[in-house]
Amino acid sequence: MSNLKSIIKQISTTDRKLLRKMFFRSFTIFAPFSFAKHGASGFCYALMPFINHYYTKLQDKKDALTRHIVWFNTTQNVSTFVMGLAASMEKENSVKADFDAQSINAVKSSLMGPLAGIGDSLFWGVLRVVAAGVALSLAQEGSFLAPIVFLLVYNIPSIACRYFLGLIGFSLGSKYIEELYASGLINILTKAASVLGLIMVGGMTSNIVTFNSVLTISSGENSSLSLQSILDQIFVGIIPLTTTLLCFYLMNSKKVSFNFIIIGIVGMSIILATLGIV
Amino acid sequence: MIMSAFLLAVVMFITFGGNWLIGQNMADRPIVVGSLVGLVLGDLQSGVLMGAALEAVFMGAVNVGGATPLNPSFGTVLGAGFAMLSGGGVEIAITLAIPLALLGGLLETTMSVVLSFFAGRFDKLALEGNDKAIVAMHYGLWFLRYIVFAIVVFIAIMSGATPVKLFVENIPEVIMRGLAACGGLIPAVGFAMLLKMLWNNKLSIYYILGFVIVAYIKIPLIALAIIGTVIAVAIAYRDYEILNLKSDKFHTNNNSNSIMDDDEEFFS
Repeated sequence: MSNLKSIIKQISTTDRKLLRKMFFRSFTIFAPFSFAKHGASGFCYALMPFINHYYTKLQDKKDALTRHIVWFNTTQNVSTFVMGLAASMEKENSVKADFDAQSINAVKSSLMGPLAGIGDSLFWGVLRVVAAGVALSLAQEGSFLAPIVFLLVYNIPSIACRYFLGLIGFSLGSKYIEELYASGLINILTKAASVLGLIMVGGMTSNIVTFNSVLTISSGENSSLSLQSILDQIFVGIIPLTTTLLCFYLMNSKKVSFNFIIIGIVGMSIILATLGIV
Repeated sequence: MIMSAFLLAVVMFITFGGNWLIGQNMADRPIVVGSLVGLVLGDLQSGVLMGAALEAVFMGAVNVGGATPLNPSFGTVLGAGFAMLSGGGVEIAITLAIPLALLGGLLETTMSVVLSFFAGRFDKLALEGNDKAIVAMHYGLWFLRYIVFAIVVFIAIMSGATPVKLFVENIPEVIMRGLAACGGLIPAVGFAMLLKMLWNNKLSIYYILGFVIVAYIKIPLIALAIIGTVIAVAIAYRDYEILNLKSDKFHTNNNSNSIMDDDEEFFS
């Protein structure tokens, strides 16, 4: 712990300023929430101070913006940890010509799932319920203090957490990435992070992309077959997985535009609903 | 009536919109929303009581990953609002709030689908390196998303409790089911984008592995992260050994050559 403190102390004044900007911007991460992007624009917005400060060439800046405008989701009170880490990697990338920029997104995607798992249960499951419990006992008497106490009990720890996790993420990144580079272990780690990232993205796809059919076909007197159970027998999650891979194929190889795909999904869902399949 | 409708629309906007603009600060929870409804309608104490009752009702309705069928803040603004304007009590607030929270959830899903259409525009702006436009759109879409809720609240209060309830009960089921299915499938586009960043022909089998583990064993993501870490560490360790072997071989090339050759012949 004292070790960590000393690393945090070593952050330069410039980086501190940039981190403060990142902290304030991180509050808006899910402001324009959409199914296709979740916190992408917010993540990109929070990293902009670093991107604009450290990249001088326009092309590098474009690449960095493109890296961070992708789907991102985690509990927002811990999101600054990932932001800090990504910021330290972007800083490294701006000075090292051979930095594998792909590793930045690999690290992001491997961290967001587990952090959301811990963050959601800690902030939503514990802190919010505790805050509501305290407030509800005050509210029994109709006291106007109830909502104020509720907001304070929830927000003070969550804002503190947001602030310090940003610093911690950045310092850990700065310290270890430097060492990893020097020893040449970065390639091994990038590969390992990509593996973990892909596994986590696969798991999140299964959790978040969902499809459930309500169609049942009666076959004979008492027996009926549900379409979903047939689909599940073939492969659990066959529709979400094939939809995701199809979207990936269309965007990556066929260069089909985003909006076209979304219109396709909306149209398809309405048709399926009309047919009584979903 | 216009004044009350306007004030309630403002409450809707600052609690729900403010919650998402300022770090999910829980201002959209019934206990806060109810109290503010009481404040603007001139009866703070009943507002707090209704808010507390609705907080207990909606305790389990949590927005994780943007997918909830219920929207507690929308339900509370209109439920508590209608109850107070008609002079009713907590019971009326609760009976109205639940179907209205469902309507709010439907509206939220719709807005998340509508805002998905701007995803391509975000990507284009990033490719052009236009960071200022990204920021403008980031805030612009926030405003759009939540002003719609405020407008709906205004219209609902102006038209009164009975027609609103009738409307909620008569939403075609096809639309409900279609939108729900849509909300389930659209994240596929986001994951496809993410895959575009991570895809590597040699490693992409691990994507399928992660999917299958969660689909079949239904373990939480933390457990998956541990399994994934074990696999990643095993791979990293093997790569590390290969790296060491390579450098060993380089250093001791002269005296170990014959042994290595024997080994290779033995295995081949």
